[in-house]
Amino acid sequence: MRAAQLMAVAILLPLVTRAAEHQHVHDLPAADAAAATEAMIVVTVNPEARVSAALAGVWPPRMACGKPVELPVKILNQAFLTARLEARLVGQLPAGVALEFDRRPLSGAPEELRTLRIALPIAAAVDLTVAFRAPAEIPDLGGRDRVHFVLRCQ
Amino acid sequence: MAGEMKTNMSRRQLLSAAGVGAGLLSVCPSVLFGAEGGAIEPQPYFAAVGRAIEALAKLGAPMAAADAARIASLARQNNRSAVEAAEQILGRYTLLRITIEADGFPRTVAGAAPAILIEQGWRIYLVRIANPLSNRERLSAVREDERGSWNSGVAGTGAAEQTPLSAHTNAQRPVLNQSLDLSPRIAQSWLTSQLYITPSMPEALSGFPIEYRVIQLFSRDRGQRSKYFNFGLSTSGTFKSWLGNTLSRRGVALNFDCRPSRDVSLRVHDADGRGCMASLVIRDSLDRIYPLQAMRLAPDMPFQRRIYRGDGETVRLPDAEYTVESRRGPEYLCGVQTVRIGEQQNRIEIALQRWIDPAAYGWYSGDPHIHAAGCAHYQTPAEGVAPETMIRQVRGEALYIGDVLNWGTSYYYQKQFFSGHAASPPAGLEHPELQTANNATLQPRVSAHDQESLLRYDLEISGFPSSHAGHLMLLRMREQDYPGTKLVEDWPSWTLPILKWAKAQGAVVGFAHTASGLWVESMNLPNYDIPPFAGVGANEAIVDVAHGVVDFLCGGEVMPATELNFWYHLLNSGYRLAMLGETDFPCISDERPGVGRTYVRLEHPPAGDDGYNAWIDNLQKGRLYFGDGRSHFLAFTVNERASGDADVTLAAPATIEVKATIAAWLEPHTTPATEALRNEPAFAAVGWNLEKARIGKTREVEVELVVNGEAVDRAVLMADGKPQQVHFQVAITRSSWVALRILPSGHTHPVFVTVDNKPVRASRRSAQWCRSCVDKLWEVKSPFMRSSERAAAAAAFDHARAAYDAIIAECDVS
Repeated sequence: MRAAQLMAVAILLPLVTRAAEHQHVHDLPAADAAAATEAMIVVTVNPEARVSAALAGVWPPRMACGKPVELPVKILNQAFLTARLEARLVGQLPAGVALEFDRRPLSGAPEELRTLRIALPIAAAVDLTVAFRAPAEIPDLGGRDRVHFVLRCQ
Repeated sequence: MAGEMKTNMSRRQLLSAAGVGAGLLSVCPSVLFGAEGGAIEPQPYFAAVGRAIEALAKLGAPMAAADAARIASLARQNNRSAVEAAEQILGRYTLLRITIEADGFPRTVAGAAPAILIEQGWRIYLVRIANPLSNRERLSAVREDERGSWNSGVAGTGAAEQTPLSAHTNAQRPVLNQSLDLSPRIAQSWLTSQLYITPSMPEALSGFPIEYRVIQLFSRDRGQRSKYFNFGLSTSGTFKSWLGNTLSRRGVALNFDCRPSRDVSLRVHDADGRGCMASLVIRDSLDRIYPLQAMRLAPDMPFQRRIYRGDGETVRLPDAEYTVESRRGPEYLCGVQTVRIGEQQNRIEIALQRWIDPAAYGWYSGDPHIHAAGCAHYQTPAEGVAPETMIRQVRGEALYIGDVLNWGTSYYYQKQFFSGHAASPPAGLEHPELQTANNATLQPRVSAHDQESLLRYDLEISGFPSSHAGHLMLLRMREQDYPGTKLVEDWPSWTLPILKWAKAQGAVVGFAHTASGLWVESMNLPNYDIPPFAGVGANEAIVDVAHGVVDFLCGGEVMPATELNFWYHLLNSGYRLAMLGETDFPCISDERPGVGRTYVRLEHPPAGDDGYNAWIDNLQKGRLYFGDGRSHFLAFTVNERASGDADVTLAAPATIEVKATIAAWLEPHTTPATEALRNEPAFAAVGWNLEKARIGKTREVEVELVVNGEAVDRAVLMADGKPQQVHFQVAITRSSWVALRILPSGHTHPVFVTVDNKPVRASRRSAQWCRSCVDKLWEVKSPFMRSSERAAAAAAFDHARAAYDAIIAECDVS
């Protein structure tokens, strides 16, 4: 099941990106609804380009120590933003905790799916804060630019 | 009734203490800690504790600085003994301790924090949750009294429908299901409480063995009162868990000491002795904010520490000593006083002091970009606040003009406030019945200065189909609906048609937040890097200026070099448009309106439609300067010509005389606060602040003479608030624009100097930069245009390309 979801993300991502590059965005269909409902994090870029984030899906995901867990991120882009969306870990974390997020600029499409990868080195609980922002843009002033969750690998 | 409850509760408390050792645990947290098992991993523990401490501060009741510093230190220590030490500190702030027991039901006991409430005010405390079973269900309160009967007229904890506000959203207005039959129910309750639920402190437990939540409590009454607290867990709000917990009777009754409060009257006088509206920040000896930011209702905003009060109005305060900071925008000194409120003292005198009055020199302030809805603070419900709330903010910052721009998020609701006229409405209450039910005895009063501030409702084209091309600001509109449209979605998907339509009805138009998406590596001014056009900045302005339909760009916000670079290249290419100071309150800054300001020269203070029209007309003519309000160009002439007047005309190259009267204000000495401002990152929400211009540790700043985008001379200005004369001479060899600036604080509009009647063609590189930007813009933005509009847009872009090509050909200076 998980493999199927990841495959769906892998297939949809380039499709969405390519569509925005070559098609009139107002004519684009919304991203595949089934895939979107599997998102673990939903990021909204409001019309003023303020970025906010919220948890979705069923937490916590199963993960193996030393191997990145892949978390689908749905991006609702109401600002036609074509900058790169950055994700970063915030706060004090144990050594070896790693985050990787798609570095390609957003396509500007109303919805996109990206993948956030997080790896934990050892089998201990870690409270993670992941903050999102568009470079050179001010984050959500209400402090809603980030999500918090506890992960434990096995 | 209260006495009966108190008797019952005492008995229950004894039983509870005997049963689970609550009393022992309250006084000895380390015992509880040990009982929960010693394997509390420090990183997740301190991460969550940090968020709880942040929430306390955000809600206006910060932990004592020493305690917060100690916990921060313990977090760095990051081991088991650090966790235990932190638990002891947090215990003093914890009103309730919940343990998820083996059968999955929570048991609640009293925490060590003294149970003190305020009559007619909010207090907040921590709630500690021990969760040894790693439960991830949602924690909520069970509404019952201590006898187990449901909803007997006593408000319970966490019952969102019983509170006048939604803490989930920090909304200024009640959500729909809270707007019905609310006040009578609150009137029956002496206490209302609600868990503070945000993404950082969600309803669902994290599964970690210990975590904290914040509970907000409002007391209607004074004196000794008691209340029974019980909590339940659910996965989807199911009744089963609540019922089970009700039957299991695992709550606790608390005795509260509800401290009396009183309405404190305020005398708020401006520097001329007349009454006015002002900004007040009121703190007690523990740095708690009054009214507490938690659960504020308009006109007080939860995202601001300040409140705005006029002469003769009141604020509700319990008897205690307070520090009151008063101000009316950056043209005033910050007044700080200590007052002790009690039987003998229930009045606070505010005597504001100005360090400068630009109006005395003919300059009248405005913020052309503020919102009454949208962005972080009005997300749900989206309709926002009404003019009677917005005028309070504008008056309290001594702004003559506040342009309240309606935009996509709230368009259909806020449309009702558009009248096509400027007005100075009363600063009334939007929901007096909820004010009464909540905590407000505030009765609005009219102040002598009130009529000096005007609101004008207009449009920002944000959240519309053309928003990708930049957010248009359409000021002084007569009609708000684009021809042939019924919905926002029907509007054009590029900007030129909208600008032409707006100009045709007499509007003055431009682009908001110029720098958004235009960031480049170079911070030089000017620089020639081609921006990515990735956001919602002044994008299509680069095309629209060639069609003669752009009056201004807006800045005074983030990344001053990026804002000015765009403007300078257009000026160098011969396009005469203004740069305005704006705030985009509360989207780019939620501090206050007037963070970025525009000062327009007028003969008389603006009043009514005529005054607003004069302000807008002179803005369009270039009789303005902009900035953060901490530096002022009270006079600025080039060969005796002021900006917005006729050009200085030279028959041949010559030396010109630049004279100015400038005033600026810095605190006499640097402080940790001023240093923190100077060290803000480049992308700080407010990039323009005179403090960033301070030369070293002095009280001096640099005034620069700018000719065609290059700083060609400098003078040092003492920023002591006194107007000072500045004089430059500079040789002008070709048609040019000349301006003064104090970066990053203020900037004049240019005076244009023509030589031999030629247009300004100041820099071929600038024109080439603009030409390249047109191509880049088409590449990035044309995919967002409707197919049906793309041909017209392509023609408009071609027109701009041709215009820049012609300008490039006319430039004889690289």
